Amino acid sequence: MQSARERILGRIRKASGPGQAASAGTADSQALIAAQPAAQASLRPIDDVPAEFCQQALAAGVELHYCDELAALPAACAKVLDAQARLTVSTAQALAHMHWANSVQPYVRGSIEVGLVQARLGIAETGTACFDSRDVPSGLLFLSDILLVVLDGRHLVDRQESAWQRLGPVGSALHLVTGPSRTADVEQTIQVGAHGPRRLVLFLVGGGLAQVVARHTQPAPSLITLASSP
Amino acid sequence: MAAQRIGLFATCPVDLFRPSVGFATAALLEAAGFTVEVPPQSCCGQVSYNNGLRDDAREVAWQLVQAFEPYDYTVLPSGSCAGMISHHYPALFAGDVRLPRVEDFCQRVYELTTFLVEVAGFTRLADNTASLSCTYHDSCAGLRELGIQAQPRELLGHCGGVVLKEMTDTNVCCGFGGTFCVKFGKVSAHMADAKLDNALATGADLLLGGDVSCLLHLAGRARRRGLDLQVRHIAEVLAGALSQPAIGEAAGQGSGKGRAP
Amino acid sequence: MSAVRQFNTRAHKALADSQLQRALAKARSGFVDKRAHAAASEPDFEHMRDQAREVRQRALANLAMCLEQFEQQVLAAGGQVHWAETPDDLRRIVIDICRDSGARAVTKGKSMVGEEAHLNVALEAAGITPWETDLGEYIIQLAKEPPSHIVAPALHKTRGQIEHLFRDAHRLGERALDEVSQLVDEARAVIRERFLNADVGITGANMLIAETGTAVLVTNEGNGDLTARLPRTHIITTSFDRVVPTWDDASKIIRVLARSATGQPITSYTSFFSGPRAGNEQDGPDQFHVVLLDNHRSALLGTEFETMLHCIRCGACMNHCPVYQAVGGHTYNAVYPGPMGAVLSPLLRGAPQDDALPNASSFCGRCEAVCPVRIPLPGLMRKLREREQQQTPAIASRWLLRLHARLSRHPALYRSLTGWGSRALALAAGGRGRLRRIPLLGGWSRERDLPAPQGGSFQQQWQARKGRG
Ligand code: SF4
Repeated sequence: MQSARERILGRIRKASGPGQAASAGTADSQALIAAQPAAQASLRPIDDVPAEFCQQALAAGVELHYCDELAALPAACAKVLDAQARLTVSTAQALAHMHWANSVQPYVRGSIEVGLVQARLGIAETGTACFDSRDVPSGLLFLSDILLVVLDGRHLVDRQESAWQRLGPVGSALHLVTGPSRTADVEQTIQVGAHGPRRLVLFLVGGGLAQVVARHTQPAPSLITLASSP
Repeated sequence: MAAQRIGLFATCPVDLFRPSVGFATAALLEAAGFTVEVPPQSCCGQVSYNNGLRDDAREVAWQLVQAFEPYDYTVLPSGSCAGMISHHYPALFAGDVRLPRVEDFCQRVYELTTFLVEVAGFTRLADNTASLSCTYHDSCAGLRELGIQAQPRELLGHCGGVVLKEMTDTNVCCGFGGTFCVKFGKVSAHMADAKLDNALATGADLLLGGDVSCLLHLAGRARRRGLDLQVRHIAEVLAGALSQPAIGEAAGQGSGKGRAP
Repeated sequence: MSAVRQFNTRAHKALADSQLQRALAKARSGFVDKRAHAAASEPDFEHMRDQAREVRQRALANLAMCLEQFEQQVLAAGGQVHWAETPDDLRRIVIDICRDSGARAVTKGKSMVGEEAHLNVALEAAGITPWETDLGEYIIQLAKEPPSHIVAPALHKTRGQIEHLFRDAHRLGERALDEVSQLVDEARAVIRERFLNADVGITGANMLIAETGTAVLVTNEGNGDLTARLPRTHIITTSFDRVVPTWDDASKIIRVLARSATGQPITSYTSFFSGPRAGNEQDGPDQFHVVLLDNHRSALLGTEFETMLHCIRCGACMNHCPVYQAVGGHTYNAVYPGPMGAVLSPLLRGAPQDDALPNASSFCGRCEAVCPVRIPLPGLMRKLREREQQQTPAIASRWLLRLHARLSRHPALYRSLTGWGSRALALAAGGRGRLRRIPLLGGWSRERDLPAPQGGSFQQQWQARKGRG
């Protein structure tokens, strides 16, 4: 007796199409299914990648900051963070070993005040930060009330396709994060902080982007206060 | 040079209910310098086509093609029927030996306002002495299959006395939809009500459109609700042919708005 | 009762439901305006739509190969792929996995395939508690209702109704729930506990990427990720037609998905899941299962309905549908409502010729105009109407239609008949300009008057004038 798999694939193969008969896994089939018609020209180039990143991230509700080097980050964070705020970090990331003004604890599952994570890449077309599950546990991204994202200013790419190239193989999950968590399920009213972070604060570090960030973040962002504090 | 000949395809609803739109169309085309003829005609086949009777639709279509292909142009005061012809006839005759003739014909078929703007370049339109406060409903097939949106507004702009007040959701369906309006009467009426309410909200006296079928539905609903809103086909306004009562109105009835004094 | 009449019975109830009408009115302009803005502010948008459509075409043209590759890659990553021919198969597979995991409670992300299989009912019957985590799904789970929209399942609920549901289900005391933010926070607190306690997480997938055996999940809330990554077992319930060849192809779908659905360039979260967690990863499932449902889809391949499988479930067609906007999703009485549902639901039910849904459209074409992958939805509905005409016994209305077509093929005869008819109707109107009741045309005159003809058909009058002239 045939299995459901064989019956379904059998029906699919019977329907016409150049690739239905070939078997998977060969170099030929790879090339065939990825081959795109020449008419599929690429999208318009993004000329100023950092500027596009800033603009899109802000439009997505990201709070944007800049500091010149990683060493300056704790001071910059302290400036925008409530003194009592406790940071939760991934022990797999270098951030865990830096010296912070706020208290720091390693990630365990549960509700988290402030998650501090480093992104692998930023994608300009949507102002998106990319996280690999090998260095940031998924829960840290989604269980934090406030998510502080550190992103190297030299790790910005124009579009997703470039990100896939730059990233290479990733872990069991790759998370693209664009702004805070939100929902519109109650009367189509957009409300942030559905299940994940209510705020997403992003520090671009290095890459000489001080002016670009400043240009996009006028007026200056205000002090971060914890949602839970009175 | 002899004037180019136009076959005027009036469409079923004009033929049966609103001859004044046919005459207004003819008047506009003649004023633009064309010779207008009205060969024996019936339906474009859309009724059969949209109700799943494809073979019937094809044969109805074929009599129309034969009747109208001798003319330089075929012009219709309807975006819906024009869309049926130029958009769907070629698909209907796919794989049929008659396809080349059908395609050649379809290229010479025009909805009225498109023809006046894009082929005839005609701008000497009616100069109404009374001011006509109008709003315009974009009928669906004309809008989405033929891109009719700017043309009627441009023509109204050349028309004396016309004040155009755009309504919200002018591009949303009025709920006519052929047999839809009969099969799903209450849903259809609900859609008509939204359209009529939007039209009323502009404060316009006259609701115009490019398809008599939609307008019969809207006028019928407006009369049933007792609304103070007149409904007309745009051709009547463009030709200044307002002597007939508006659609669904008795002579000498209504507020008097939207009629020539 | 005929299918059309049943649809109308539900429609009439919906039109008279003031709460529903309120909720629909709230949704109406929001979706339309946001998509219009997204389309207008992206110069490449039309090009993006073409690219997305090409991806879907190419995926289906190479479907068997894509699926085999997807399966190989999932297996290589340590996951499993299951094939379900019917909704029943899917339910059985999912429940078996849950039992193997010793699951008593499962968190669920939104999955239309899960809805197709009525998975929650089956889980409960098996003694497993399903916890919906998408806010909209959570609301309708409390209300014990099916979703009314494929993207916004609780679109038909007003804020007041949601507050009532929460008050009944949660121990709230005097806590205020007047603001949308309070409602969202309330659900957040309740569901947060569930994320941390579930044994199994079940989500759908917006796409499957063949080249790496990856499932793509798109949400704004982040519920899908917490459902997928915290429990020991992650089950993805989806249909095989979600597959795309490569990551670059997935990007092309992502670009049009949120823009069409909610007007965002991208959703807050777009996640790519490839197998169970590696040893050094702190979060992620130990078991990773993908269940692929067929349920009549394979029968659509190579037919005139194949383009329906291009659908990326953005919901734009229903957001822009005036019929959907008038009557809401439940009137369709189908898992998939609106224009895409009017095509897909009858096909998935397997007896499309008996269905009202393809008829419940005015063919205004707005759905096709906004569909990101340009599915000719009215054209497909028309093809379903053709099937109905071919496969069901003729009723009176069809004889009328056929008679009309017959007459139309003989213009001279037609002309004399319309001339006569026009006169007769004008006479019946008796100078009132309209008729309130017309024999045989009750469908028309129940809701509207019939404007009276002007007296004599156009063709007759034209002949007469030319004759005189
Ligand atoms: S049919 Fe098109 S518009 Fe409708 S949900 Fe599918 S992709 Fe979106």
